[in-house]
Amino acid sequence: MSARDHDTELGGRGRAFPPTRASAVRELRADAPDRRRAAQEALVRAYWKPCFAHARAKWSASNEDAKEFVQGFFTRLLTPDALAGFDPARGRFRTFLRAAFDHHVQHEREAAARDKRGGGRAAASFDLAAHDVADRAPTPEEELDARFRREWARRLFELAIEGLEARCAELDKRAAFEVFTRYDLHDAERGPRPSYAQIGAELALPETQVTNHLHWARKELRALVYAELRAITADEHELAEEARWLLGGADA
Amino acid sequence: MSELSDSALRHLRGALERPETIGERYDVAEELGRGGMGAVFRAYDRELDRDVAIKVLARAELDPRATERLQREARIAARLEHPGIVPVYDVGALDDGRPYYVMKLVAGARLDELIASERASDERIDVFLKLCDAVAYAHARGVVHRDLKPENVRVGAFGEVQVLDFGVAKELGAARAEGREQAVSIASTGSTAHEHAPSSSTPGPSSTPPRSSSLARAQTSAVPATRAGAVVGTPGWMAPEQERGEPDVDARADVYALGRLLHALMGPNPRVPARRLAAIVARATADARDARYPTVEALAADVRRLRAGEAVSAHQESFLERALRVAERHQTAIAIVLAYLALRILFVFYGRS
Ligand SMILES: Nc1ncnc2c1ncn2[C@@H]1O[C@H](COP(=O)(O)OP(=O)(O)OP(=O)(O)O)[C@@H](O)[C@H]1O
Repeated sequence: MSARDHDTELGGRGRAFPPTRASAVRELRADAPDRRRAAQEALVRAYWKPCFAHARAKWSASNEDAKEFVQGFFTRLLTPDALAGFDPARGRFRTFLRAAFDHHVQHEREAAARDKRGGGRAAASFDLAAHDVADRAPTPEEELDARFRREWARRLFELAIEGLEARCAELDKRAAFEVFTRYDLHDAERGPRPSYAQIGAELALPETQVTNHLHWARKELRALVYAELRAITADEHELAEEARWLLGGADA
Repeated sequence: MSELSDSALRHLRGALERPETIGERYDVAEELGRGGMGAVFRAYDRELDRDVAIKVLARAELDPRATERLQREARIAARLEHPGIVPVYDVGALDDGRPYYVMKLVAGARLDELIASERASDERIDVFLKLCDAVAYAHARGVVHRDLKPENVRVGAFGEVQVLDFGVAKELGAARAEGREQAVSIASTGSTAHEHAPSSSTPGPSSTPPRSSSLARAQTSAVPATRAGAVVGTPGWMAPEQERGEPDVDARADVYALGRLLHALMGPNPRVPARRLAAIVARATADARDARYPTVEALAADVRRLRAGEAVSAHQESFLERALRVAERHQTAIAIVLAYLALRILFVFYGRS
């Protein structure tokens, strides 16, 4: 066995799981630049999509503008005092981040408007956005909030499911992932959820095996969701609060 | 992966709320239903090799008050050992702190299904009387259910009846606790001389609250299931005083609900004497609780009389009604006498010729 194979072995099968990721919210304040960069990446992973959807919904930004807003925002997160206004005692990081993002977009819009008066920059795209605003009914703030939260939840689950898929591949448990996909990821728009018996018949597994796989997959997924959540919350208290909502059966 | 659909997201969040196993002992299977506080799952008890039902607090509800409520519900039900009341086997908390309790898995139809079924009136009366037995037992143990409704009563294949969900039950023990509290305050008054003895190391009596009041606080915080004055119960089944949120609801609130259940169970039924049934229902569900049967036993006794064809206490009958009721009750005897008379007449007639 070559050293390379050995490395793969270490990084893969034998890896302790689930990884307890450090809180990116705290790491963003670290001294070492590479730690700050890793933290930024973690936040981008979780928040890029919700922020993008939010820019589209609240600011009626065009596709391109929305991307630019999000990109600019996450770049700014690396500046030293980006989190200066965040106090875990006063609220959730998720709420802070959305407010900061709104602030960023507003700032950019104003800058663009000034540029336009001065002749030039981003005029076309801003006109397009203004046109969007006129076309759509304004979305009330609460609805926007719920929507941001839902997109955030969706993203966290997507990340956790990606993690589950990787883990199933590592452990040679592809059947478990298959059962999980067919049962738990079933889209209600495509008809009724298949029964355990149906899935068993399709995958040539006894029904008890189907439920075992499903239980195992959910247990793993729960741990993965926690791990993802831990990475983007400030402390144990916020983690517990968010987990309670995210995994609590409350209305999405 | 493709984007997670809203429906899949909703399902996943629900699925992850459910524990796959509880401790080493229980394998959790499907959800049986969901109530105000949490969900009830079917589970397999590995130690005793049997299926059970487990009620788990919803994660979103997890706070000290809800936790206390669920534990209290378990304690109340556990104290009631009666074949008509679902037994509690075990309590505990999940890793994430949510409390749960394990109880007997109840099979059988819900009472509303029985009501809608073709079951004969005799069986319905039997079911009702068994229900009364269970509720009367709870009252004897100082517990008022306060949420008796068809969904909370199960009827098994052999007519066995089980009352579920003591989630909003009230312990008349609150009254007992008050009694005890008084006793304590008397006791502490009795020892005043000693306690008031001046001492530099203990604070004077003016700065210490009387012992009885701290005890009372401890008890009141442990006893009520709900905020004072909050309305608990289900509209349509709960008594008017309960609907008004009156704090001193007693056993007669259950008498009221039982009256509604009796009415729903017996419905318009040609085999049940309508007037006497109506009188029983009217008395059980009187608006003023003083006008109701004072106890569940008294209600049950009247229903037994109804079944036996005797006069019921709720109804003053006319002479004709009485004659008809007696005639109905003694149908066989009257038929024999009539047949005998007919034979005599025939005999006399043919004997002559
Ligand atoms: N021991 C049991 N066996 C079988 N099914 C049960 C058992 N206990 C409860 N259930 C079912 O689970 C469901 C939820 O019960 P639960 O007591 O949580 O709520 P509820 O009575 O509907 O509402 P609430 O608690 O808000 O009054 C009900 O449909 C009930 O029939």
